[in-house]
Amino acid sequence: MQLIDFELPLPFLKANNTGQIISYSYQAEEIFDLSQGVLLNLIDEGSIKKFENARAIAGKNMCFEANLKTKTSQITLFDVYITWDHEHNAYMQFAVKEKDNERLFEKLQELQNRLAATDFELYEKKEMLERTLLRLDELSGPFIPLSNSIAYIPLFGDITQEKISIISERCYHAVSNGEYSLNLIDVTSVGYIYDDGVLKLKEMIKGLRLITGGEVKLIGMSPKHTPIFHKYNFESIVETNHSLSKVLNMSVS
Amino acid sequence: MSKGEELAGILLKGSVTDAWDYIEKYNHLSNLEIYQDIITPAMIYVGQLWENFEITVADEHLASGVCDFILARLASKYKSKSEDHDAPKAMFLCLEGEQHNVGLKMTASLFEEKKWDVKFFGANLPVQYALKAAKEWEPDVIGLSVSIATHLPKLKEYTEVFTYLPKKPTILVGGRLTSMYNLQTFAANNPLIITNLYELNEWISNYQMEGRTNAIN
Repeated sequence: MQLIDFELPLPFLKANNTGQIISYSYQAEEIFDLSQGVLLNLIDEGSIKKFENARAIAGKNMCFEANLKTKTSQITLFDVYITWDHEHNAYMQFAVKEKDNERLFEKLQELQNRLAATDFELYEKKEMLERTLLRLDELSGPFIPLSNSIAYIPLFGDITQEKISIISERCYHAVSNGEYSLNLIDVTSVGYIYDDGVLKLKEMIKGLRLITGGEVKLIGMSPKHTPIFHKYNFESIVETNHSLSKVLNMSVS
Repeated sequence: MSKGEELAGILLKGSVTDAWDYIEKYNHLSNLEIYQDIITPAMIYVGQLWENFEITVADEHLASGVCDFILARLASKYKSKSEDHDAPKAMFLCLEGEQHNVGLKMTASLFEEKKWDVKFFGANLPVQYALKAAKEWEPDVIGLSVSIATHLPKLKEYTEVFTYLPKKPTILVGGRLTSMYNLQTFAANNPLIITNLYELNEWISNYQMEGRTNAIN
């Protein structure tokens, strides 16, 4: 076993195909107990297979994680950089990895501590509530075919982005299975309209027009809704000044 | 692809929601079956991926973090504070330096399902603290987990100190090494080595049905 006398950025070992250490650097000697002269003595039992696997594909330069025994610790995680020569001697450099992972482990530990304090009964009730809210959103915009060519979508409750996302998805699916030339979105039963909700509704109207190639009308608008639809320039993409009965009379006549 | 491999893939993605949805598909199974036949193989497979250079230790920790969530949620299905003041008591801990406590959690959960009074000390509990806790709480069973071979010499120390406890608790030893070594040779006073959870579950049932002595025999 020979000490090599030049400066390297990381501890270095050279071992032959049977795991005998042939040469080492000062830094390696400082970190590892090299008295036995055998690589196996430095490797934690759980990492031996990795070295065996690396040897099996000798010839390929690689870097892998392994737990090694140092002079101060029975088990320390290293990145092992390994290259081979034509006689299957391994040239290895070792970078301690524990510090890199420390923050991640601390974060994980924090999460585990929180987990230990979690009341899963409450957690499950919260999930149930979320599912109920989702269902409510689904039911707040039913798709009703009035005839082969007229679709009616009455909206209920407040207009939020989440609600319109759910409704629009269902409506796109429904219109693509028919040939609706007139799509009526009824806002008579709408309460408060949120900005992100109205933007999503605009997207939905454009989507319906694109899929059906037909007309979309916003009906049942009350004076309280006018400012927000005006703010987002709905007049430019959709007719807004009708009631359901008026539109139906027009389409019958 | 086996269930374990499927779950391992989901755990490594780090999504607790997806992992729970996967486990929910098997809600017709008992926790015991899920622990032994799905979660245990998944975690073994994660270890194999590390051995095959496919993932890093950080990935492994992510998987075990997500797994922790699943275990906590599964355990909560049956968890209820034991009203029975005479319920047998069991405490669980990993030897000093040991961080792998997934198996220990599943073990503790099975005891809780059977209405034992359980204290879970988790990873890395030095022997003096373990002994102090055992002296004060007087458990009937102490479960130890060891997964790293370099920690094996400590097993003798732990198993030995517990023999001085007046109540003489039954010592159970589990963990990854049970299938690789004869752990009796590394322990004092003949502890019970647990190699799989079905075996453990049967042992707990026997303990309750026939009393402590018969269960040990």
